[in-house]
Amino acid sequence: MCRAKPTFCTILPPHVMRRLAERGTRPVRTAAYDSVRLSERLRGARLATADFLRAVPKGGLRRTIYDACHREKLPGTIVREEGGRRHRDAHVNEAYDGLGAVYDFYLEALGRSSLDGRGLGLDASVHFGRGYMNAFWDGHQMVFGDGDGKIFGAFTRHVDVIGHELTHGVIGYEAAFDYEDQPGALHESFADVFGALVLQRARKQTAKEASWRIGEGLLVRYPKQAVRSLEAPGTAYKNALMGEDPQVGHLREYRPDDYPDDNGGVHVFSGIPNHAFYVAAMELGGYAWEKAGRIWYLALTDLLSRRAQFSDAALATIAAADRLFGDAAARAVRKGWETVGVSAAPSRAAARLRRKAA
Amino acid sequence: MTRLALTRSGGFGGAALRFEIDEDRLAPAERDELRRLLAGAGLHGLPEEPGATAPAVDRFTYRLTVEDGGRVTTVRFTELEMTEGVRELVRWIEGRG
Repeated sequence: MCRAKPTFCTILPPHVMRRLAERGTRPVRTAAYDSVRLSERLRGARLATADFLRAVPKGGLRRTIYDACHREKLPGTIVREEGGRRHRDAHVNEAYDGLGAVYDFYLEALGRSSLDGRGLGLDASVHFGRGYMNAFWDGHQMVFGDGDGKIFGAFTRHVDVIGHELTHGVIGYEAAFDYEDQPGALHESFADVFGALVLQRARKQTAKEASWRIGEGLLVRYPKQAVRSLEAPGTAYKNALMGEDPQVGHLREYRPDDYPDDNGGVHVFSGIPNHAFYVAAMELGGYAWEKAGRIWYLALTDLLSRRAQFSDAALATIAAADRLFGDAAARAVRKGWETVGVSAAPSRAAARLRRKAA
Repeated sequence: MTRLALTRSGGFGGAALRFEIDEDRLAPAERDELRRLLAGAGLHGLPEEPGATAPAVDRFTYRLTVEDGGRVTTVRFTELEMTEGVRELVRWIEGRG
């Protein structure tokens, strides 16, 4: 039945689907992948209109760096454009180079042309606000604060931070996860995963050589600490200014109600899918962007959507691994999710929708 | 006597930070500044919960409690919802707390 009409797989119980995706013959597994794909799309969120909203391809890397001159008005004054000379302000050049590193990563490692897949120009403003302790993607451009100099230094120096923020942009064009609870934690996690891979690729590090930490050296007074660790969530920092890294790396510690001011702990529970990625990447070995990164990217761009839960991400990445690299890769990814206590079954919400659709 | 407590959550780092201001410990000029900023912020007109705006990905979320005599006001908002008056007050507290 699956072979003739793959979409019927969506009404199969999760454990059956999972087994098909893992152990079925190749056509059956392909059908299972397609059913994951369809059911995720049924989740309502992968808007067909998004394709129309995409910019016309212009081709090539086009960066524009602005100086916000310590105000909170965007974008500010243009200080460097694509191909322009280096600026006397190091922040400008760091932002320019950082945008370039992320652009190169997406194009060369994943075959994606800029954030929207259609060559979107990359704009960034430096010197946003006074002592502003943050960097963010506002939906249109990258914004860098200078840091307060006590806790955070300048964000422009860190390509993993830039990779993280620009990946929020990519996610907006793809799965567009809701920014709360588990979908929100996936938003943060995919941003960390690709942020880490941008840095690993820039440093030509294998999975085993990489530190798997985000924002190393960003904490001014604690140069050996970092902001997050994919290898050991919850261990990135511990100091008098910030307290202790609250991240967790296992589903049994998932308590979204403890973090109402962080949209249900999107920066805390991203540790769970982050660690699943780390385990999978270590199992797969080599350069993490070549296998693990491509698997996560396929799940993000082809399978997952707005309301995805951790279990959906598990199912999607296992299906993507199988499609791209076969059984052994699917097992490696499965091991990652098992390590963090997430089973690869569609969430209850997904199953309900699926039943309705059937 | 006025006391303020500002908690900032979210941002790229996701770490929550708390800033406190006690009017009694301020110099007279700073007290005047605080009075001016509080008047300009119009906190009493703000809702207690953040509105449903565009998702503030990696932006700051604030929780501000103002204890003024016996009156306690708590408001929550994201950076996207700050009026110019609230922004001025928040940045002042952050620079001092």
